[in-house]
Amino acid sequence: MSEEVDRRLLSVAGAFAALLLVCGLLVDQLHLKWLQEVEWPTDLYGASLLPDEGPPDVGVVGSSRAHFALPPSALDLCLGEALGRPTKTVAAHRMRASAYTIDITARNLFSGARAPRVLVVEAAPESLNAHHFELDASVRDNADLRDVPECFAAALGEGEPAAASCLHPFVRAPTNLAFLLHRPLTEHAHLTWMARYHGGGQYCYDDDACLARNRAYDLESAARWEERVSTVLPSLAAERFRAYTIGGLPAAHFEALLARAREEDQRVIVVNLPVHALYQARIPAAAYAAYDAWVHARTAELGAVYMDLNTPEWQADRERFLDPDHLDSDGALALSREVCAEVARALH
Amino acid sequence: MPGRPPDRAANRTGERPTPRPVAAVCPDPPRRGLTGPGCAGQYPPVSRLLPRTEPQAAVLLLAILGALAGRYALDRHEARAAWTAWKEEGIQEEAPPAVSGTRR
Repeated sequence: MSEEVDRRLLSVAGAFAALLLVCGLLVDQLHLKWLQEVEWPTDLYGASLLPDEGPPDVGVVGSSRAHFALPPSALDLCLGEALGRPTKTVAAHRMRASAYTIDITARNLFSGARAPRVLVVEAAPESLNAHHFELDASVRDNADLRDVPECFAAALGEGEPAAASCLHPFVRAPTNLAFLLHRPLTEHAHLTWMARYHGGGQYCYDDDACLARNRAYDLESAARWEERVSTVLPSLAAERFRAYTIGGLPAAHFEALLARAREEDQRVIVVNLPVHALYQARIPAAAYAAYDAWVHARTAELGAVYMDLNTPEWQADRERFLDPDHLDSDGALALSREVCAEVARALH
Repeated sequence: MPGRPPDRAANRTGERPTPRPVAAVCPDPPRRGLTGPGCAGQYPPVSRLLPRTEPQAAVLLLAILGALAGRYALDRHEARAAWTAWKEEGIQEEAPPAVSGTRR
């Protein structure tokens, strides 16, 4: 190869790598990572665009379960009554929510200048599985450039996630920048409206428009129970509790979240959200026991409060569930009141 | 057949390279598009085969970045204007229907 060609090829490759790196940093810094091509579940991009000044009182972070069960509007309603002043709660939930996803979401949107005084964190047994069924996707969606070395170490040491997933922060920019320009994939008016005016979440309770919206949604989702019973439950144990072990990136990031919150003087309330008895029956008992013991111990050691609301009373109350692991608007309001009491104590 | 006649190279590039002694090992067709030992001038180097696109690429890149920056600035302005109107004047956009394409 001639030197001229050699230099030219190297310069083209170098320029391309530099462009990817710069675009990757741009996507990270402007929160464009939160643009998603599917409608799910919070408009995190819309939330990330709101002003930084005056961080929220409470941040809620988790998966779809928290998206339904802990609407910021319900918490603010209750906190307002308990504290005698208005509060601002903001939710940030993302699809494929392993504990890895939850930590990085909290790190990006609820730390530093945006750090709320109280962080409500969803815990679930499947989210801590070292062999989480969507770990590769979770890494691809959420890892920042700075997470790449840790990801490769896990890929080489534990075999999960796949090493190719770890490279995604370098190639996310072209897709997400394209989402930014091509709106129909990412623009969902009702989610943006919830993010702007009600802190996100599925339901709101502030006015008649909200209550009508909640009713409409629950009615529209009437078939959801049967659908989820037939599509999710049969494969639940084999898919979500495969080789169940607490560890790997999910457990490391759960601990990192609690440690960071302690450094930032945030109060963390870890909530084990209820699932219906049909769902609970599909969770292997040994896996659930291991999860329960681990979360109890780690939250206590790292200075967080643990609320176990997956009680037999909640599990038995079919009327409060939209489907076997998501609450409806009445269930969400009732559950939020239980969490609100603990949050109010932390905000006093 | 050893080497390619200088005229063929001249047709491809529009330039007539300086004739050089033809080496017996020159591949034909040229492998990897590179000149081999002793074959310099027999084939145009890759750099000359590539179109000279730097200025056009830079303009295109700037246009894309400009569009992205403009889109982002609009989004940010719209979100903050709505937030301010709500916080300071209590003005809230009408609630859109609660349709959902949620996946789980």
